[in-house]
Amino acid sequence: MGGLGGQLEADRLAAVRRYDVLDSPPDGAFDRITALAARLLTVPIALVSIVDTDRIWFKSRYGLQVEQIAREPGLCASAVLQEQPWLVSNARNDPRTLTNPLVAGEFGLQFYAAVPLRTHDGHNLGTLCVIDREPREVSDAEVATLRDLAAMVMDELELRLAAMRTVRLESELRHGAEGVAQTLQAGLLPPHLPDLPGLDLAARYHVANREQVGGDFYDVIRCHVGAALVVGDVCGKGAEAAALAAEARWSLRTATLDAWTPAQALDQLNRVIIAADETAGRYCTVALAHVSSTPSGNVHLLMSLGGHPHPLVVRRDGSVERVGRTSPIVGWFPDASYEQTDVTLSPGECIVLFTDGMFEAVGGHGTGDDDKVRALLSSTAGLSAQAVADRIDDALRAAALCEGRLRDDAAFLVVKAAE
Amino acid sequence: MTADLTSSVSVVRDERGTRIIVAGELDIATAPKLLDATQTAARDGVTGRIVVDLSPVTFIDSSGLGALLRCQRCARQAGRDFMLATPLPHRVARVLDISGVRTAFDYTNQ
Repeated sequence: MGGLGGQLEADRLAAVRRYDVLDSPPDGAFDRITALAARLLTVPIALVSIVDTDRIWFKSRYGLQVEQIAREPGLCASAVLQEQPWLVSNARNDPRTLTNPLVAGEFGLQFYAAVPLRTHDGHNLGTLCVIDREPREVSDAEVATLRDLAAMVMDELELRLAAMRTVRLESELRHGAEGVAQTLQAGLLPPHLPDLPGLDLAARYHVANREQVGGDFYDVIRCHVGAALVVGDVCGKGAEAAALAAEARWSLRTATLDAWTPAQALDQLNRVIIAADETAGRYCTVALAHVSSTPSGNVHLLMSLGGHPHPLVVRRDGSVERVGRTSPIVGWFPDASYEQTDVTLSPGECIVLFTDGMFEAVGGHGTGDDDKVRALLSSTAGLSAQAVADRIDDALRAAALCEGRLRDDAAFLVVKAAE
Repeated sequence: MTADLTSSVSVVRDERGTRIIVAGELDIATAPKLLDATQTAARDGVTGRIVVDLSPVTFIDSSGLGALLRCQRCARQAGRDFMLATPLPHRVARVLDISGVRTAFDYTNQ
C-alpha cells in the first residue's frame, strides 16, 4: 500500500527483529488476549499480527487458520503506518479497502478494527486487530478496550525482550568471568617444559569446571642442579585460589633461582603466605623436588612435601613405591619445619607427582585407597613419560565419564630417567 | 553438587560445651556451614569446649581441611578449647596425615 520504503520502515523492521518474535512458537499469554478481544467486541476473529518485510505473521490468531499472509493486500500493513486505530466499518463501501482481495474475494471481510502495537520508541511492530464478515460499527468504548488489550500485548513483548536481554547479559558475564579465570589459570602453568638432558618429562592439567578455576598448579624450573619440579594445590577455588597459586609458584621460582634447597624454599613460602595475610586462612600443599641426572644415568631427586600427597615411583619391575616424608601444609603454621628426602631413579624408572584431584579421580571418589592408582602406574613400567601421561589421562577421562565430570582439577607431572 | 543432598552439620549442646557433628562430605559445599557453626558456638557466650565430631564423614578435601583449621583458629581466638572427636574415620585420618596436620589438633574420645 505504498510508502513502505525509506528509513522509517527500515527502523521499524529493525525493531521487529529486536523483539525476535517472528516465527516464535504459540504463546498462551497472547492467545488469551486475542480470545478476550473476540469476546469483548463480539467478533469471530481476533489477531496479533507482526508486519515483516514482505509478510504479515500472526503471533496469535483467534478464529483464523492461516499462519501468515502476504503483506501486499494486508490491512495490518496499512494499520502500522499510522499511530491511531485503523477502523473500517463497512469494507465494501470504504474506498480504502473495497478493492482489497480480502474484502472483494472469498474471505469476505467487512469489518476491521486495528490498534498498532507501538514500542516505547515509537515503532509499530504490527497490530492487535479484530475482524468480522458482517459490517458493523465500533464504539469509542470498544476502541478503548482494543487499545488496552494492545497495550497488554506490548507489555508481554517487552517482558520477553527484557528476559532475552537478561539471558544474553548473563551469558556474556559468564563468558567474561570464565575468560578471567582462564587467564589466571594460564598464568599458573608453564608454557612448555624445558628440555633437560637425561630426563623425559610430561605434564598434564585437567580443569574440572571451566567456570570455576581450581587451585592446582605445576612448574618445571631450570636451576643450578638441573631442574626443580613443582606440583601444588591451593585450598579453595576461584580467583582467590588462582591468585595464591600464582604467588606460590613465583615464590618457589625465586627461591629455586636463589639456589635454596626444597626444604628452605617451602619454609620461605610458608612465611610469605602467613605474612601476607595472617587472618585470611589461605594455605597450599606443595611437592617440590630438585632433580639432577648423574653420569651413571641415574636420576637423583631431593624432595620436600608440604602437606602434599606422596609421589609414586614406578620401578623397572613394575613395583610402585610411595616416596617422600610428610611435612605440614604450607602457609598455615608459623612454626612449621620442612624435611627433605632423597629419591633415586635408575634409567627407565619414573616418578609421578600429582594433586589429590588426580588421585581421587583415578582411585575412585571417597575410597581413600591407592590400589587403582598403583595398578594403573604399575602397568606403565617401561613406557615413555608421554605414554605414561596418556595412560593417566585415559583413566581420568574414564572417571569423568563415570561421574559425569571431574569433581576436582587434576594436575600431574611425570619424570622418567632416560634409558 | 551432590554434597548438598548428603551432607549436614548439626550442633548439640552438652554439659561440657558444644559438639558439632559433620556428616557426609566435608568439602567446599559443607565447609562454610561448619565454620558458621563454630563461629556461632565460639561467640554465643556459651562456655566450654568445642568438639567437632567427624565420625559420620565419608569424604574430606582441602576445603574441608581448611575449614577445620579455620574453626580451630576461631575457637582459640575466642579462648575456647577446640578438639576433634576420636576415633577419626579412616578417610579423615588419612587426609590429616598426608597434610601433616594430625598433630596440630587436640583430640577427645568423649
